[in-house]
Amino acid sequence: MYFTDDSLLPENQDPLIITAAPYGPMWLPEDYPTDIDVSWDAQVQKAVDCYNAGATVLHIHVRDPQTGKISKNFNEYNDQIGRLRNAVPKMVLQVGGSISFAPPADGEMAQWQGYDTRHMLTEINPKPDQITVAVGTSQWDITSISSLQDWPDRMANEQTMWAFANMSVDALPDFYIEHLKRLKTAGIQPYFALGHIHGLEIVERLIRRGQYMGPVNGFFSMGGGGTCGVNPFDWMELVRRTPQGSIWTYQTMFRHSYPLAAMMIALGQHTRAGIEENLWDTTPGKRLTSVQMIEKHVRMAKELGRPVATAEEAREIMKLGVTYNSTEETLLALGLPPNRPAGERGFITYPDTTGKVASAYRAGSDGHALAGEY
Amino acid sequence: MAEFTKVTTVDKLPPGRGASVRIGATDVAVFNVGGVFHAIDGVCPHQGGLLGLGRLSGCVVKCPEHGMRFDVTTGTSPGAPPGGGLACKVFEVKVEGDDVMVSV
Repeated sequence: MYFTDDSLLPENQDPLIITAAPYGPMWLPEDYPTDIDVSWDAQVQKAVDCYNAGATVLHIHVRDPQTGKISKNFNEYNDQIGRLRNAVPKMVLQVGGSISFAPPADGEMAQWQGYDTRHMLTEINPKPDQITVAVGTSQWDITSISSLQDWPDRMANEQTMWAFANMSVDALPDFYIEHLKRLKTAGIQPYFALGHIHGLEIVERLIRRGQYMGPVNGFFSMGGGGTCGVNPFDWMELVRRTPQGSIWTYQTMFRHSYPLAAMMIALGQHTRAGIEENLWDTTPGKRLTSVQMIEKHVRMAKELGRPVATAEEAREIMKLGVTYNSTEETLLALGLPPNRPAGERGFITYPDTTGKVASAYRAGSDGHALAGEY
Repeated sequence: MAEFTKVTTVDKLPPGRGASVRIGATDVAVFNVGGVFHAIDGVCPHQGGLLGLGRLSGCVVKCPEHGMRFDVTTGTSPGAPPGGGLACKVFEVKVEGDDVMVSV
């Protein structure tokens, strides 16, 4: 993002898009009995409550009421997306992409077959608005910026922390190039799930090589330990490097979520709130529900004078339903320079400009007039 | 007495491979480690990835979603300090003729 003198004034910022992440696939109902919904009705009602609190995007995981665990049943996803579409028709429905589906019946067996079971997400019917697409395999030690007191009692032990510390997200070109193709065919907008600046670089290369054309929306999931951590200068660098025409949500773990949200609300970026990545208020040991976390983001935005997006505004800001048909169109819409024409030297601008503001006076290297020359 | 359910046959699950199967409402991950079959809870306790679809290296499977690793012979995280913690339930397996059978 390029910040001009007026970029931090709330009347010039996009309304804040708050993504609700209330389903907490990492947790079991016993970890937070009053805010982890198990029945279909309760899972749907949570979406309604999050929408009423101010969230306009719903990050969806589906919990199997029979087991209390995350569902592996493709048909249950179809059914639940349908229920949610009816209950919150305006909300942007975003399905979390780290899901694979079990064989549908007893006696059937599923084996590793490339990424076929993960690609099945693109076939959900009724289709969601967005599916998250992880880009760039990374170590993902989500314990690195937490302490044992952040975790539910069931997990607050060295053995569990060791297991979490040794995770790595699998997001290789073999997966995401094909997945992006299938999403385009299905008419579902990809929501890029990145861990650090190098994921963003990959997205730009996908665009420059013609492997992705379309609006760029996504989130940075910053848990430290191989992904971006909680150094605010790293957060600022992410904001600086994101293309002008892209839309990003910033998310981290546990109580770090609040300083991050405050910064991103002030900077005109977008936030995510919910128990998927945090169980707490700002005070150690005090629980908040997903709805209460969303309400807190709304209050922070209000104090800064930044409006919260309506669902219609969120859809427009993220260009839902918009497609681009060329690399050039995608780069232009993002405010990125075009690809280098063969043989052209120097930093590339669009062909019908010199890349400089026309001036009757001599300008310095930064484009400003030189003192004493006019 | 444990009730066993046939989940596959020996020839369909060669050494070094795993599979995801369902027995009733239970997802089970079954593996062939050097000719010996093992079965554990098939749903990763992190975010529900199907462990039977993970890549098997020796006796360690890596969840296909976020890479959490489990020793399929014990259900525990390899290298973890001794104790309980986040472990997958281990199911009893037997081979009868060509049939691989699991009791949940």
